[in-house]
Amino acid sequence: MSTPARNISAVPEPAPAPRISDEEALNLYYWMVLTRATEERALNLYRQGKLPGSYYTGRGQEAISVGMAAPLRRGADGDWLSPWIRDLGSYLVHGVPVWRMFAQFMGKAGSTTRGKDGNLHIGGYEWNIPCQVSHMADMIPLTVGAALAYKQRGEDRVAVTSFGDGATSRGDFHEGLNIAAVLEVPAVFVAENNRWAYTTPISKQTKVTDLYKKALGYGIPAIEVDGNDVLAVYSAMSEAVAHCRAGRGPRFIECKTYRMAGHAAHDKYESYMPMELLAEWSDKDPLKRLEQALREERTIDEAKLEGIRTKVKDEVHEAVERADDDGFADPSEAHLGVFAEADTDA
Amino acid sequence: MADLTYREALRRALDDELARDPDVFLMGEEIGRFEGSYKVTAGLWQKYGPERVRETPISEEGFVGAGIGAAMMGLRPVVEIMTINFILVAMDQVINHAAKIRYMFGGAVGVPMVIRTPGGAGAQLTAQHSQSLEAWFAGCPGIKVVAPASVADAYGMLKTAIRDDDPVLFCENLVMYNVTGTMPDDPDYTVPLGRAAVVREGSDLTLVAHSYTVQRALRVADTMSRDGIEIEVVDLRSLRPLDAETVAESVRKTSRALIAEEGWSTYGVGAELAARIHRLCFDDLDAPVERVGGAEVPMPYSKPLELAALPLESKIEAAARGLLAESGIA
Ligand SMILES: Cc1ncc(C[n+]2csc(CCOP(=O)(O)OP(=O)(O)O)c2C)c(N)n1
Ligand SMILES: [Mg+2]
Repeated sequence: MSTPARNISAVPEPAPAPRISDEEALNLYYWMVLTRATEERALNLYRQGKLPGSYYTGRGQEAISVGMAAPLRRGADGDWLSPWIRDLGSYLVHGVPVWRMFAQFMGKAGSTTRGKDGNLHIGGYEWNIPCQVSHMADMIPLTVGAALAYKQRGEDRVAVTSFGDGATSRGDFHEGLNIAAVLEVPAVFVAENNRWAYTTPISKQTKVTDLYKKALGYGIPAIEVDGNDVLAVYSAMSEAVAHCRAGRGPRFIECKTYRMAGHAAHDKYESYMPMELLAEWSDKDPLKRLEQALREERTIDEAKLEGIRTKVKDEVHEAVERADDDGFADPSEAHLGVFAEADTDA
Repeated sequence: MADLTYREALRRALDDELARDPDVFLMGEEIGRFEGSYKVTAGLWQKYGPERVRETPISEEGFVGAGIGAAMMGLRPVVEIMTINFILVAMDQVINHAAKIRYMFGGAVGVPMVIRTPGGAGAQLTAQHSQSLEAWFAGCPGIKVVAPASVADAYGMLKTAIRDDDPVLFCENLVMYNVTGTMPDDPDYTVPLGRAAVVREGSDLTLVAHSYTVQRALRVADTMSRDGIEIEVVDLRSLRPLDAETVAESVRKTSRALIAEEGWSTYGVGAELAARIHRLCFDDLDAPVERVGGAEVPMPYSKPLELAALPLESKIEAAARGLLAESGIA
């Protein structure tokens, strides 16, 4: 008996894009505006010396962070989402309240980690978001494991993680993808190819600059999408998630985009990033593009968009106030929580 | 004698060795055009070109392994790992290859490689970016582990490490890069590996430390000196080879020993030294050997929690006073 041939490593047929309703599109707009406003406010606070540690923004990559999270199921019984540091929007869409993001940056008791971890190392069981291991690509094998748990228990849940182009140089990327393919787990890998890793351009990172081709090499169906078009990311992600839920193994989506600032807020990127390219990509700003699509292709009222922007402004303002008013966890808590049993000698 | 920063002292050592020996080359992430995440390689890519100052993709296990192979073939790579926290993804290459090859080849093949990497905590960089893991490496035979705490040692020990025929883990410290100090003008100045230094003389207690904790120890000694208590501070400088004799000589004089370190005490540098001191100075001790380390937790982020976890001067001082009280000096 012969098994039917199955060409799993082929680029999947582009499914006819399901029409995204105006309501869905406006919902994406809300999350994009909220993401940018939250980041801008946090960046200001950082510059004023009110946020410690280091600060990273995903300006210009909001279409990915929002578009990848929006099709997922939220909550403790929902889908696992492990976003990369550029993806503040993913945390918001997946359910983390805005004020707790600010509390996290400030290290307050109301942070998602009670001040134990900082910046975008946000996590919580209630959202099914794991605290991030900041070593690049480390979250890929973990995501495979979460997907394996769902498969093993027969649940139609999906595990998703995102990472940068630089992460594809790490062993964990390659081992993780290979295992995902061999075990046929319901995982979606989202590569954010913003063409830079710190100050290293992609040309010096890898000879295969179309990252989806790496996934094809492991036998994972993979596509590339315009990472500055939230509707495109959302469609691709919806399709990939449905494929996973149907038990058809992992998927890989490469989002082509550009890093619109330095690696971190303290990075003097003017010294190494070509300014012409930045200007060019600035015209492709995902928020501007969505606004244009909403206004011109969907003839949505400017007043409606303005209403969303005003709502977001108020939300962010309130969130910062609430985080500001929050206190710090008691220093004695530094010594708690290493093991499940509180009195175990750490 | 010139005043310069710890960072600049390291840079000069690299510059001198690149100029002296064509087999020396640097390798790591962001170390070329960008001059390294902490600017230790400033100007070297421009001066020596991309083959002597090699920029790599983000593949720590790959380029540490490549460094070992190149060293086995007679080159002298100086590999930079952005911070010691990232060496964890290259552990297999360091422990299973770098540290074992000479022995496994019956002494015929060596690995004359240096891995430079900064560690340390205190800037709210959280659990995965605030570690002091040097004791783990020092626990493994076959790799030398050093951690200079002064500008002159940073310069002199890095040059010695590069000339050494065995692998050396050269531990720098994030907090120390901007610390200034004096450096001898002698371009041939080097500092041998495996020798501790008494950096402050005293008669009441020996306080042993390495890396940034030496500075904390000196501040504690100054504070307590105002109360008439004289602490002798020993800068360990090397963790392997470990100069227990210099420590023991000091303890024979003071009869009390306290070891402070930023890493975890359990199975740490203090644990090893305590065992050596008990053996070498059993009859001289007026009190049990004591140690202070970072709290036995992953480093938390928020400032109040981080301060609670760091081995601050106040904690070192309290331990010192406890030891003195225990042996009859208030
Ligand atoms: C194993 C490891 N090595 C080094 C770093 C330091 N580091 C943090 S982010 C980064 C660059 C990331 O580039 P990329 O994956 O393209 O993501 P992007 O920042 O562009 O979103 C580096 C080198 C790290 N986090 N992990
Ligand atoms: Mg990138």
